[in-house]
Amino acid sequence: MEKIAEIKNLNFKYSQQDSWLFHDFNLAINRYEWLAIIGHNGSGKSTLARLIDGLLVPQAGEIWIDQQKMSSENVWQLRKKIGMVFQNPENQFVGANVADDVAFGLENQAVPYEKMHQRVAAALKRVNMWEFSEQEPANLSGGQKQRVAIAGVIALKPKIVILDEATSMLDPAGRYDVISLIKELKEQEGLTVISITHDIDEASLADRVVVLDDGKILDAASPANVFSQGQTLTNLGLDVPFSEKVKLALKQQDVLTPSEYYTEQRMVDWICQSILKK
Amino acid sequence: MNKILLGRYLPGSSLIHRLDPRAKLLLSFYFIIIIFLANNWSSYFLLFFFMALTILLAKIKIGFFWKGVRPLIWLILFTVVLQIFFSTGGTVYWHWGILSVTSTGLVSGIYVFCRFVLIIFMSTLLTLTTPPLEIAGAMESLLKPLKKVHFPVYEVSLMLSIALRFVPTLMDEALKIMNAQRSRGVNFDQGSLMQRLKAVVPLLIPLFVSAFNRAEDLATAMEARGYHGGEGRTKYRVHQWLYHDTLSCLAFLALTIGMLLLRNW
Repeated sequence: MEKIAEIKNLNFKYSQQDSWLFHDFNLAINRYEWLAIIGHNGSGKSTLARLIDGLLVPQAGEIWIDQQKMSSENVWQLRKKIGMVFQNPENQFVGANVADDVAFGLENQAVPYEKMHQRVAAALKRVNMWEFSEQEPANLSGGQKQRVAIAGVIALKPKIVILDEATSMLDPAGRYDVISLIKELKEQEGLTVISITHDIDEASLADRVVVLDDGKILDAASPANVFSQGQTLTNLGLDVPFSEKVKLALKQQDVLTPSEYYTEQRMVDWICQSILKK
Repeated sequence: MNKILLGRYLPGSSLIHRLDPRAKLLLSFYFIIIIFLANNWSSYFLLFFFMALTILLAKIKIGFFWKGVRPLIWLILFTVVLQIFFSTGGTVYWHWGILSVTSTGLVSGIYVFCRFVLIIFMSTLLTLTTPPLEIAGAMESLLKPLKKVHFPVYEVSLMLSIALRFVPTLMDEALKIMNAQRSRGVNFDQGSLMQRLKAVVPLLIPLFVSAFNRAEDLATAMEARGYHGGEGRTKYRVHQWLYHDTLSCLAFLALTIGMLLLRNW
């Protein structure tokens, strides 16, 4: 499969740290893939996102984006291919109102006036925020602000979208809203999504899950494979999906449960079947 | 907090609302200068007539203007009283020590009152009919000539628009911190001056720290969206000078001529 981003032998530490956060770290991200990165607090997830976007400079190692090696000369060029949505919806809102915020990235890229207005309108309609275009951020909910941030990203037509815990400050409804929007956009625009998350339901949507523990990749596999080792994840301080929790509770009641990962629907089917068998 | 009229904008679609913000900003300043040309009753009458006309055109209730004057009413009355008691000349109506009420004193007191009211009305009209963002944009394009002397016009206007955008956010946060500290037993509105000052510390420090964090988050988000300085950017909002902007300038020209005529009556 074609790689859209590759990290080779990355070494990175913050200046105030003594030990390496990432030591000889390697990771490849396929084109059109939805990659979820999970891990406990301080495992280096957000740092990794900032390294991929060139916001942090590694001490050693190479980062390749779309067949180009990132360097201080082309970092602004490569950054155009990457859109980032951050955690706090309030703090990443640059513009004084919705339309200005979406336009901010386009203004930076010196997109001409006519084209900019078209793209802002298209992006806002895409996320169903067009009727709010003249609203100020103070009048919007957290989920709406996050949708504006996504509109700001898709207006730039990136190839990679990085969600840096983009849903962690939203309520379940807002979270569902944002995630299904991203999923839809990914299919339609042919995006590669890197989602950094604590939310296990979000991770279970991914094509591949990377478990990060203190700057090391503990596991990189499909969600089914990763979540089937429920106990290991719990030991790392991570949550497991609801179906795994049900399985665990059943195990404690001495019920023989399947060892592989089941989605909620499959779990429901399995329970129904096992009751019928008895 | 919603008593503050500063920067409040009332959405509307009147002629005054639709004026180019640059024209509005310049003409409001110009009006304030013109006020000082007035030196007799007829010229003040003309100014008030003009003001009333613009307020009518803006279709804004007069109550909002009164709200603009109210916070400053004590300052105005203080100045007026000083004018009345300490002016000399004309017929003396009342006299006691250095204090005296004279006809010129009374007249100049009323003039001062009129000036204050006119200035506040005009600046209130400007902020009520123009979104803060547009004022910031207008200031940027008006300051553009300063680029020649290496004044960072774009950076200043970006700071201004970010500051305006974060005012409600920080207000909310201040209120939240205040309530959080109250729930821990901090008393903000009782005690001596010193105690009250001390009570502000647990409000100010968290507010500062969070402002720093916000600034860092915002800077990262801006960088991730490709912001690298004011050079080589295009603009989403472009002001257009239309014929009603020229018309309003002509109206001000007529006002100036009228004022000059009345002044030397």
